[in-house]
Amino acid sequence: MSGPNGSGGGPCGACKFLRRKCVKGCIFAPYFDSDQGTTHFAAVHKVFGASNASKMLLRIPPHKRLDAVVTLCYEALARVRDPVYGCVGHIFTLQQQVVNLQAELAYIQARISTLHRLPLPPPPPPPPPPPQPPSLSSSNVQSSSGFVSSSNIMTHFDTSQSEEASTEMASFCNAVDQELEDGDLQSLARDYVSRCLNGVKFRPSTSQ
Amino acid sequence: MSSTRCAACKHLRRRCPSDCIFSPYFPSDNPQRFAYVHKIYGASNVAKILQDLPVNRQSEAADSLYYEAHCRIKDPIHGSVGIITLLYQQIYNAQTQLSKIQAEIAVLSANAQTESKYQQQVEHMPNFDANLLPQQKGVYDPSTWLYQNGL
Repeated sequence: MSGPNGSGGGPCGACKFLRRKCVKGCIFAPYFDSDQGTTHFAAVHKVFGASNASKMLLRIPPHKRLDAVVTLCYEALARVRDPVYGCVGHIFTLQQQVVNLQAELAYIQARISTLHRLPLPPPPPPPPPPPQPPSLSSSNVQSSSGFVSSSNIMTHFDTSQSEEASTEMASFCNAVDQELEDGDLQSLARDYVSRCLNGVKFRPSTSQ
Repeated sequence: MSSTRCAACKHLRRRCPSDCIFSPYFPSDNPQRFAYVHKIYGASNVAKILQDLPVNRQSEAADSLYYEAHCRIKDPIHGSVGIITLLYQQIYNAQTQLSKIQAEIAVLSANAQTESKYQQQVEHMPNFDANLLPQQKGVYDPSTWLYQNGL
């Protein structure tokens, strides 16, 4: 996102948009070139305003300003694209993905612990009595019932998975937003996800 | 002049009209909410954003603006994009862990099947006693290659 420094290469994207003289030392010049920079600055100007953007950049050390400009442009473009949620909608979508993955991990870990608990093969039979026709031993029956019981455990886990996912969503939202301590934000997250992901239901948060 | 000004009009030190665009979303009991939003976006930009939206979406927009403003004040460099980066990292970590565990399950399942097949093979093997052939009686003595007590 580098651009002219305003001294002789023409106005930067910001000054071009603002139709003003691009002075030497323009705060925006290093970050908004006269091509794509103009479009980006237009979004930043619409959402934050040039004055606010300038003040924010001046408060940041120069070696960190590029990162700040990138994130400001990202937020501004997201807000222009989605005036209601901006990039917060993306955050809610990612939070939902994390919750789904955590639920899947919990299910898989339960399954693997079940596999670890399967009964070991029985020890070799002792020196035998007179020959007998081959037949099913008691150990063979026990191992098949072990597989049956593990599948029952997995079935039980499946039915409770959706409840655990919704519980985890409420708790994850609480964990991420705990500093804000604003119940409206959690309801905003639930509204957004319910609007975008049909069929997802949430257990009410205990903090409200 | 309204007897109860909203947080925005109090902050801006102005009269709060009955149709104030801010008053439904910035109540006077939460002054921080408007202060953050005003610091990052400015009152006029917030008003423009809200006015361009249908009334039933304005509340959500106000909430999301407050969330972003709060994130930007807390982290002036990355803002809410910092949270997005963190979430992508968490997703990557969870997917990596999931892949590892799924591979472990595949190995355990394969081992369990191998054990089961081995067990079936052992049980179906004929019961062979090297010391007692069907036609012989007694005990085989390897030193003499003879069956004792059976000849």
